[in-house]
Amino acid sequence: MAIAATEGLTMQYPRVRALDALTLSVPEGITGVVGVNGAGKSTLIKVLLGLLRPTGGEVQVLGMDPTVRGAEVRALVGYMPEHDVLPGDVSAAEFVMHMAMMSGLPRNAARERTSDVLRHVGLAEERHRPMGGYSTGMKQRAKLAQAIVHSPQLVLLDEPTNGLDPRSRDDMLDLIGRIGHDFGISVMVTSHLLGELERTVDYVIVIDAGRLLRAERTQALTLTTGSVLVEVLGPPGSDRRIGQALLDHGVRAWPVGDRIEVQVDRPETLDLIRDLIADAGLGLVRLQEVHHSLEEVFAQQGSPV
Amino acid sequence: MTTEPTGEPPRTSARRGVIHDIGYRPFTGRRQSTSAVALSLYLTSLRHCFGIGRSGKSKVMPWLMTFVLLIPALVLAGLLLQLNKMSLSDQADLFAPLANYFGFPYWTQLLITIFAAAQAPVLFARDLRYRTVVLYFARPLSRTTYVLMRLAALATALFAVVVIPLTIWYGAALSADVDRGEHTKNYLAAVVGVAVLALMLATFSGMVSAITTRSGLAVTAVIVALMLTSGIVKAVQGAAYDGDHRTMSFIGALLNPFSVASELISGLFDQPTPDSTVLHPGPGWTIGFAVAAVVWTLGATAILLERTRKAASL
Repeated sequence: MAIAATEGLTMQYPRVRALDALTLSVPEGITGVVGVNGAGKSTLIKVLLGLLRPTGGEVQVLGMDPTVRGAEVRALVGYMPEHDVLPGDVSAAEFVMHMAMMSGLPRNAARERTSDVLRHVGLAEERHRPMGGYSTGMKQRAKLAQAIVHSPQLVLLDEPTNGLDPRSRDDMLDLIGRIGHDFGISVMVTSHLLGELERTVDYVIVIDAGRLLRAERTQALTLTTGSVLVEVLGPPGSDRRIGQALLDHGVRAWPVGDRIEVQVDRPETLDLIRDLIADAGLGLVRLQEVHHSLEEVFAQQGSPV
Repeated sequence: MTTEPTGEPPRTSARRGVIHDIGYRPFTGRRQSTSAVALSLYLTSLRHCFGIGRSGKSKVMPWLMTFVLLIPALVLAGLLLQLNKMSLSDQADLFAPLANYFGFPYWTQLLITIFAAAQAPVLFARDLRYRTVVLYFARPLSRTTYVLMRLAALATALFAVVVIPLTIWYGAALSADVDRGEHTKNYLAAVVGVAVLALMLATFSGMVSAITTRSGLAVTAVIVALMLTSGIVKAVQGAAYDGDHRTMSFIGALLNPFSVASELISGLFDQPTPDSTVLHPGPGWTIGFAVAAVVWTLGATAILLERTRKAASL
């Protein structure tokens, strides 16, 4: 069942059409919404929260129409905005608890869940310090905590990895994975980078200029290419020797750095690789399927993302 | 809070070897209604007006003003209790001022203004400056309810810091040898006046805070605006008194919440004015001041709502 869905959704501003007859469906699990800046991602979030009344089309979140039952929708949906929204002079513990109560949690439940959620996002020791002194990574965690503290059924994350260094970005994506898969909260996460989402999301929606470009399961998009990556352990030049041996056996193979990518048309090819390496007295370090990245897939479609 | 492990820890945390991770537990209890959330916002905001739940530093200003406002009331209460020990001529001089309850907020308007100026930015400027309103509006409360709850909290705080000293004063009057009927009437009229005044001051200082969004700037702007108009009103009233221009005096009084409130209750409840230069309005001008109080309150509320709405575009 769809957690959120739109049908011919249109949002016409005086000068710009932010959403243009957008029809999409956000299933349970983690959905990535990808598009360049200005593609309509933030407008879509505002409409889903019931904060903007669309000029046309239908919208439905958790089985409710947010234009009519906005308060009920917002009680069960979490939202993490893209920009900095945290007051600098309040601690994360106080702030997240206040936000939990603003979502309708009774005081005791709010206190308990605040402490749970801050631990889950990894803000343990710092939570009693004013948030003005937090690093970008810590601020993002606090923003995420307030978005899930009231135990929503759906959480909307607007560019949660923006401005993070690679390591914090990986942590954030891991956290999003846990929220979607272990916590049982459906996630809709936006990004302008397709590549960073592919590890985490189950479903990808690509929008451009307010229109739906593509919507697909991540697995369906990143089907195996039918080739494997082989890495051998041995004296320098061993990879070349194996590559040459494979070509001699009529198998398509080409070097990729100091590894070899091998086209596997039949299962026996894999046996052949193993035997050739064993006969040469070398070690087989890696034998890995090669998947398309999402970006390759979309590039093939001729739709720039 | 319970620390008992409930159910299996999620795989990821087990892999990370976090011993105390008890896994994620969803909230299964009943969520509160929107009106309960609104009440919660009102109470939190009211506490924040007095620095409760905020840093130690932020408690200084509201409580200092609250206690300083008590001093004149305690002096007046003391005078009332000592009244029959004084000579008759001294008593006669004191009777009128000791029954002029609305004179209290009128003459302490600098203190009340400082309280409003210092606390309004806490409720109206911070959320806009840090864009925290976005998070409020992504929650069940509507934008209008959010603003109205904040306003109600500030108005309540202002009402309380003025009415508590007034009540102490009135309590002393009840146990002193004075005309209780007159004191009761004047006290109740002053309470109504303070309520009107609190609404006007809360909306005006809230509006200025929402426009400036910077706390320091908002504090200065509120104090300057209220003190400047108060000065203008006093100058106009003084000149009008000397030249005997009633209409000019009343037009001048429209410019400041304190003079609007004092003229309003003076006309409405036949009260003495706080000062001889403040004229007692007739029925026509009483309606005029009632309209002025409504315009001050609703006008500022409308601008405040509009400003908060705009600033919150995500």
